[in-house]
Amino acid sequence: MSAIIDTSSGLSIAARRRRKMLRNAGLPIASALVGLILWELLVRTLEVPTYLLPAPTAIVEALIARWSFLMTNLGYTALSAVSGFTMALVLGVVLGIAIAASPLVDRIVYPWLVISHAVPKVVVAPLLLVWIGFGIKSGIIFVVFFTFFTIVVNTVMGLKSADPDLLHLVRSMGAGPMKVMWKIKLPNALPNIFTGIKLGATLAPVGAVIGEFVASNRGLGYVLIQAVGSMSIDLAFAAVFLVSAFGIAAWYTAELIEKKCIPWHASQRGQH
Amino acid sequence: MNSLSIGDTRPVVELFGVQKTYVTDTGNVRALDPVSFGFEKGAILSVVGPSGCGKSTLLRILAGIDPASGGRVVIDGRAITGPVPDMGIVFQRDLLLDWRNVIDNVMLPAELARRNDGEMRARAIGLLTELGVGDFLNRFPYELSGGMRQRVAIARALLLKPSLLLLDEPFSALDAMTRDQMNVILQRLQQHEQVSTLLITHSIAEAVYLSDRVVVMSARPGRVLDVIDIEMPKPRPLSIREEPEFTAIARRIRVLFEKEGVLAA
Repeated sequence: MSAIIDTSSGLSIAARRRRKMLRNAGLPIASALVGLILWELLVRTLEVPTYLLPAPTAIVEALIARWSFLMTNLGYTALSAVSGFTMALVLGVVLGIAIAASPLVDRIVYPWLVISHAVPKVVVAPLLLVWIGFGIKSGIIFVVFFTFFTIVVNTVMGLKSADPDLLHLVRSMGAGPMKVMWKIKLPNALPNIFTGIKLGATLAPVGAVIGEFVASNRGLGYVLIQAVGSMSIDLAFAAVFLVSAFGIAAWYTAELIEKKCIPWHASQRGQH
Repeated sequence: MNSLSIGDTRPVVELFGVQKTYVTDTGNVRALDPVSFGFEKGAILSVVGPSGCGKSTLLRILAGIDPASGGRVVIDGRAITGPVPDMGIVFQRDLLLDWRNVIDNVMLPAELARRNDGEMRARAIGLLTELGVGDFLNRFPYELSGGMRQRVAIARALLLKPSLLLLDEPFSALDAMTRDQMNVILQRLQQHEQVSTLLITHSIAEAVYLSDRVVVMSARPGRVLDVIDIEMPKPRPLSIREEPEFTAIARRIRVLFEKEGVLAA
């Protein structure tokens, strides 16, 4: 008896992947560099004043000059972003499971979820100052508020998308609701949960900064407000750069974890 | 039917007037008119019929997924009312868990039955080896071809030695050559395991080749047109499909479909 064997060798696939990774990473980097160079050239040739738009080199100078000050404040922003996002992740997945498991919970909680998402969060931010007060606590709560919805919605979608025939099959094997959730629905939902995590991870630093706009005297959000107020636009850009860099790092960290956790998913097999 | 018969000739599956009517907004849809048939322990029975003849409805009733609208299904002397744990099912789609490798997919029923031990693992490996995928224990489903995935699904269905194996058009998505190969493998494994098997198919050749008994069904609403016992000795070579006895039975079934207008020229 001869089995039908997939003969494509692992080695050539690995080599092809490496080349593909180089190409995948190389193009975006080149594209970003070209953009920065154009920006620098435009600012220099048109002699745009620094208080309107600083050149990339001016931003780098501000970054270097105020490095330790900026790093301290980045640390503060990162702390509220990471702790707020972690809370949102735990709460979001738990609530998502509850919603997917119980139609009753679904009907009761869903309108509140939609309302919480529809409310313009930036407008609500000043209220945090009134309700929670000045400091990191309101920043953290704002991050939870900012990232929670995308995690819940993606979790619920993933949990509800398990194949009905597969569910019949495992129930016919004697699996109860808990086993079905744990062994089938939850692993099946991981790709969606990771979508929520990636979106949430990039939203988290933004949320932290907005929180700092109104209710903090530390963090990059505070630095930004102060820098704009004193017309130190190069410093403001340096802060914006750091917030963005943090968001990008958060995205790629989440993506790296995703690759480790769900190598079996179609999105992770390079068939885009 | 002789109710005194015992041992291997005792019917393992019996259907008495099983029927299904779906109630919809626009009225009732009869999917399955009352059907009755039975088959014996260790045998293969095929239900063959055109698409939409209620074959899959029948399987879902047997699997306890959908309730029947009437009639009774008795498996091993017990009337079934819900999912029967003691049953292996293979669907047209393999329904493997993408996040588990081959051996862990096959071990799923053992895990759910809390029988995840070395003995079961050895049986899983034995089944996979018999099915020709013993070298792929640590591969993931996405690394396997459709035929190989379906072999894994068959191993999973057989792991706990079910009293009944339900196969719902398991090879319909495979190419013709792979399908032939799967027929040979299934026949050998079924004989070896002595598992009572109900196969739903729309391939006349597949039904006749594999079965001890073929139930021929009409187009919707499905009803039994004929029940044919196939006496040819097993194991059967694939070339038996060119033998006069085989072609006569296949022709008999095809004529039934022609009369029904399903296969009219």
